[in-house]
Amino acid sequence: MFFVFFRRLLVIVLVAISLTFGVYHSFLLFQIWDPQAGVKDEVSVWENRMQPIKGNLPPAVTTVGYLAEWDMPGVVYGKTDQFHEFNLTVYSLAPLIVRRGAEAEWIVGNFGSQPTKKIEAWLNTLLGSYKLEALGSGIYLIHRVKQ
Amino acid sequence: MILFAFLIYFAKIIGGFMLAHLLWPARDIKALLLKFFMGVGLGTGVASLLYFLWLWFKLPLPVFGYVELLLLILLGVLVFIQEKSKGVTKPLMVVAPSKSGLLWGVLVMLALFVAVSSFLLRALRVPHGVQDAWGIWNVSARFIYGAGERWLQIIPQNAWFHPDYPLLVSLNIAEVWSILGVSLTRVPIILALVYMLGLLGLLASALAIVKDQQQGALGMILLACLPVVPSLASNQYADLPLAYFFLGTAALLYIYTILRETRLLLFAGLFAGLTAWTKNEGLTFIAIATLSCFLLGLSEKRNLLKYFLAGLGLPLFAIVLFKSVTPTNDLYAAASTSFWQLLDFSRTQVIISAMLRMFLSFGGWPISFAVVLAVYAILMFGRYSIRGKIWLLFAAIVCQLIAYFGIYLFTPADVTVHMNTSLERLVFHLFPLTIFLVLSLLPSPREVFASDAV
Repeated sequence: MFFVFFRRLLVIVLVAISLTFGVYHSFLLFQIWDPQAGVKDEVSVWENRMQPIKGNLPPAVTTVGYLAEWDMPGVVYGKTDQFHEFNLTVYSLAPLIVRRGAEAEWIVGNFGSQPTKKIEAWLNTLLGSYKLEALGSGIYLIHRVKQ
Repeated sequence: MILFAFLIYFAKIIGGFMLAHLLWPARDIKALLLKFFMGVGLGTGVASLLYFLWLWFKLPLPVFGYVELLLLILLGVLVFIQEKSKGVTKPLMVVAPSKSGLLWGVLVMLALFVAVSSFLLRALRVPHGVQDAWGIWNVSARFIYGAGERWLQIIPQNAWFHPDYPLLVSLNIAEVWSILGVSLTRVPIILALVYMLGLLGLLASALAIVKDQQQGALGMILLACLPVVPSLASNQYADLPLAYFFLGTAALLYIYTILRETRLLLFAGLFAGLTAWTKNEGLTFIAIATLSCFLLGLSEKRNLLKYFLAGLGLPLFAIVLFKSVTPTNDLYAAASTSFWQLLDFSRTQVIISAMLRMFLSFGGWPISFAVVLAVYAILMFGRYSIRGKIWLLFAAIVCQLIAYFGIYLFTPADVTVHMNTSLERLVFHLFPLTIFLVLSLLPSPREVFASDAV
């Protein structure tokens, strides 16, 4: 009789523990719920930054270059952050192919808080003739112009 | 738009269910439930295979949705004809639930509410998923959707991180975007929710066949209340769909040994193929499942492998075609230089101790779920009952764990970093299957609460 009662108690305890922890976890998530969280999500923020790039590119463009602080000589940068932002750019601009480097005609520039004059001075040595358009939040669209 | 996306996935599930019912026309409620939850994987899996082959053979993309709809209607007609030919005139009899059945029903609903609410609370905070989701699966979907017929030419160019990763999740997202005509962020979230509910339902319905509905309900409650389940689902990783297919493959092989229904082996083969169509870890699982089926056939002196391989054929065909155009995976590319890591015993020690710590802490409860389940299993002493060839489940779990051990042993990456970023997900692949194994051995609540319980 004792074992019958004990096993029944085990089942009840197991279910009770499961539901208790499950409900508690949901409650914790509800406590930190922010209706604006989806908009503040880093990927959503980066997508918004890349919108002007998409809007300003000619429709026939399938590949863009990518230059960032990690390409600029003498600039201190966090490698993980730079790699992360590159991947965010790849995601945001898909199905455009984003290639690191300056070979493409159209190039996305991600220069953070670098002064525009410094960026221009560097690009002058790198690209020759180009047009530089600042799109906000350190994002630039660079168009290599054929002379 | 969101409702329409739900309907599209529901239509795929119904298509999968009809395919399962056509091939295995059992009409008892337990079989029907299992087929419904198999429909999640069959419907989305087969649809993604067909979509891939449609793209591969450069057929006109705008037509695919209509072809899929026609196939759905055709399946419906075939099922109708089949039911009529069997002289089935009575609708399915549904017996009113007992008091205990009602109680379990309420508990299951509560557990589902917990899982779905946790999922939504997380998913809406990270609408694009967590890094691997947008960096691998969803970006792949964007290339498929946006590039259309050009997509296959882009794959070898390494345009995104890991373009060699399989396509079940990405194709399912891209196809729905194509039908909707817009790349809604909510679509990957809906797919993730579908698979989470599919996993819970598959576990419950498989346990209902092996034991009874109350054991199924218990399994679902345990899994649904583990925070790691809605957490991984809302991350939009492919790990949860992979866990679904791992469970499906092994459970179907095992249920065959109970019901002796060879058509289940065909589904097992298809599910095994779909594991590798979901993530590369499925490639080893295909080998394990195929060997298991072969050994099963040997033990029964029957050629069971032909049924399994019949199911495996289509996904394997698609996988071979896909892998022929993808860049080499970074793990395999460095395999020759990492061979000597086999002799590094300190590395072995690090991996084993990390795996043990992960098993003990896995789940997200404040206490160890593994210890709780182990204690429960041990204390149900004297009442173990084994049906069919349960070694199949052990073999699937142990062999796949050995494969994961091998991946960490040979990884060219720093093993600690590699484990920190992946071990929890690898353990998750086998957790629902482990719960299935344990509960298949133990008495069900119905047996425990029976008036003649001893």
